[in-house]
Amino acid sequence: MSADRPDYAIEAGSSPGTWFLRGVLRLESPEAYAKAFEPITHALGAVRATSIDLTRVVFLNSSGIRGLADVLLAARAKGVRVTLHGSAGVPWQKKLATSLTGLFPEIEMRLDR
Amino acid sequence: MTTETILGRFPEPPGPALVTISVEVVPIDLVTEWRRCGILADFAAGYLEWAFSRRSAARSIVSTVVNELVENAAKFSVDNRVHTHVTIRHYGEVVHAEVRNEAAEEHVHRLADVLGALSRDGAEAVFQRCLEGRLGLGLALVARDYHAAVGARVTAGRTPGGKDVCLRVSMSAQEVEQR
Repeated sequence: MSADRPDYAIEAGSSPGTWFLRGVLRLESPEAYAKAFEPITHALGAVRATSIDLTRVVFLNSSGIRGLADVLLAARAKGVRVTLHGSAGVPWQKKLATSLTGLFPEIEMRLDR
Repeated sequence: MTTETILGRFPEPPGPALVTISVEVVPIDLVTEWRRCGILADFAAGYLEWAFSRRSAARSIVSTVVNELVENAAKFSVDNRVHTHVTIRHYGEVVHAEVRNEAAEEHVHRLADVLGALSRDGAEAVFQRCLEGRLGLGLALVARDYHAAVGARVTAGRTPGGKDVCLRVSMSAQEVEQR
């Protein structure tokens, strides 16, 4: 058993501003998420639009939703358009759409079956 | 004499449980290896899912809710060595997930604020407020996403400065399996 191997991965796609998240995201604090999401936040300075694919994320805890909201705030500050991809078959991903669009009406959340 | 305080919506069990799982942990183990919170939540959810016809949805939702409760106990226990109990009971029509730990009085005050706001203002308003104010979202998220009643029973603790807190989330079985 490897204690240090993370349960998740955050990978850049082949197109600029495209990100794929996968695994179990249950980090202990928003600060831990700020570190994990740093590559996404950093890259916001270089694109006009970004997409974050969550379809392969098994779980995202409430600290992760706060962490994701921080990314959206950074995107708003830089005028970057954000599209989130989720799966309608995963209960928390379905709920996430309404969780975030209240505060961030400018984002687009696409749910695939 | 024990003084008992009820915070928020704290429904009593409707009768004998059909399925029960209860696990005892010490918070320091969770803090030392944070992923144990998720391991415990997944274990409880895997045990419970067999009581539902839509097992995949039930497993996902029970794990999500229990994980938030366990993380809460890990973060807000007054003494990391005092045993914490995580219990999930399926009563047929409703499911109760609860965590019982010893919390500092300061945390109990914060809990009273959140649970009072959930009862008074509704889960949606509290959730949006917490998200906007960059505050802890866990309980508001559970109440909002799964139409859950969230409450706590607070009694005197055994450790100095501690209060015994039983934090309970009550959800309909229909909600748990997204029927």
